[in-house]
Amino acid sequence: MAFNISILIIGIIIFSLINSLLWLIIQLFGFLYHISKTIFFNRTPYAPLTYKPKISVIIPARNEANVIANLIFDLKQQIYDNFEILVAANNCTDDGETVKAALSIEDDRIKVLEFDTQVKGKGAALNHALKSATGEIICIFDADNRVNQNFLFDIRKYFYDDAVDGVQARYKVSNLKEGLIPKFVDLETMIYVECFQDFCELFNINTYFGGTGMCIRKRIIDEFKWGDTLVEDYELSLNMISKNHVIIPATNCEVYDEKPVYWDDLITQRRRWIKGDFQVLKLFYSQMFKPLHYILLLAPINLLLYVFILSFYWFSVFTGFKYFSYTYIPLSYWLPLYAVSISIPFVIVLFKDPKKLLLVPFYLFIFAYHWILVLVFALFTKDWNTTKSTHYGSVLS
Amino acid sequence: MNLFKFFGVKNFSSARLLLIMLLLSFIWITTTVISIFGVYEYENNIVNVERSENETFYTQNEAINLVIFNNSYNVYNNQLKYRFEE
Repeated sequence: MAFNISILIIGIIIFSLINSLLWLIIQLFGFLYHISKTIFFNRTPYAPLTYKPKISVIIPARNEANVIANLIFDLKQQIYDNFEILVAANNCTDDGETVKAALSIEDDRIKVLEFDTQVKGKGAALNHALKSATGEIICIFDADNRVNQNFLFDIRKYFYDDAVDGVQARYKVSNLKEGLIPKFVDLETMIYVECFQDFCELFNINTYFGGTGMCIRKRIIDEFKWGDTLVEDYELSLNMISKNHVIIPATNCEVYDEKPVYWDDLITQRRRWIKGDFQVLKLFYSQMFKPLHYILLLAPINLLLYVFILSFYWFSVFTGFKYFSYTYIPLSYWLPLYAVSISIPFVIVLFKDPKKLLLVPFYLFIFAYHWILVLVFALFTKDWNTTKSTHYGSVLS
Repeated sequence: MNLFKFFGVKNFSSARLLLIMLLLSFIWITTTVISIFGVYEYENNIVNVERSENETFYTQNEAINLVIFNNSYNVYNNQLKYRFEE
């Protein structure tokens, strides 16, 4: 008899099933909560007009000359006035173009900090800029973002509650008309990220920072600082959560982010996330989190196992199931689960934006598999200095 | 709109990535369909096998239930033996 791997595979499958079930629950509750919010009530926090904390907006901008002026223009239009803008132009190699672009809009509240740090990365730039920040609340944007004019006015309301230490806004895609990939990323946000944020809001669970459109109290960030991993936002969130600080989603505030348009830019950006997720897992695996955070912390492992199962599965299909001779999940168990997990995205998109419904099958059966490539590339990348995302400076669509 | 840009193709490397994804997707869809039909047929065939009086054999679904829920490794082994003898 040949070596039988079924007993090994079934363990992995059970782990993956727990993960899938968790996402099903998050999507279902998050989506139902979203519907009920839309129809029955509006959950905007209250803050009096007299509550006007100073906000320091920090924009890390390394060679971002083609996009930064748009964001500064948006910030200048804010209906809230008690804020300052710090542009952290670190390690720029564009002969001062970024600085020039940032200063092209005249406003007393804009400060451009030009400096070089030995340690490269967004975390180092943010830590350096933090020293010059005088606000009570720190707000971080990427240079390619766009925001509505009431963003700062709305987001300060969340800090009126003393228990809140950090807030993460909703992400939206700013360059939807540029091609298919931004459209797919938009669907991904709608199907997973928004549901996760709604789920967290519903059950008062901590959410995570996503690197942009995030606000933190100054005293908290002074205590923790940004880390050196490739996903400094995620690392900061876990650091805060492990010390019982509260991060909530600001589901009423939206930040428009430019997404990759080309496949290699997308893979480059995401392999950095995956690599960063592994780094964070290494740092935090021994911490005692709530089960939800633990399962999400193990997400890169889950992806790895998924690729492992898939390769064995395909291998078995082509060799006649020789190594899988017995144990597997019977059809009657996994087919309904599979059907449900596939139909939920359709229902979510049908409700949120029916025009995009036709794209969902392409998202589910083609685009979603880019994560396999991302993982493979992440495992074999040696130099991480070249993985900074490309920003095109597209028109807001 | 530029059709290449629309599909996210900038150069040879991005075109290659797109092709690999399409290939992965094709393999995934075909193998899923094959396995749904294959497994369905397989599960139904096992049920029809005659059982001898002295030995306990299980259908696919019974075996998986016993292995998962009763942690009965012997059942799993017996079942393997049975299958390979066959």
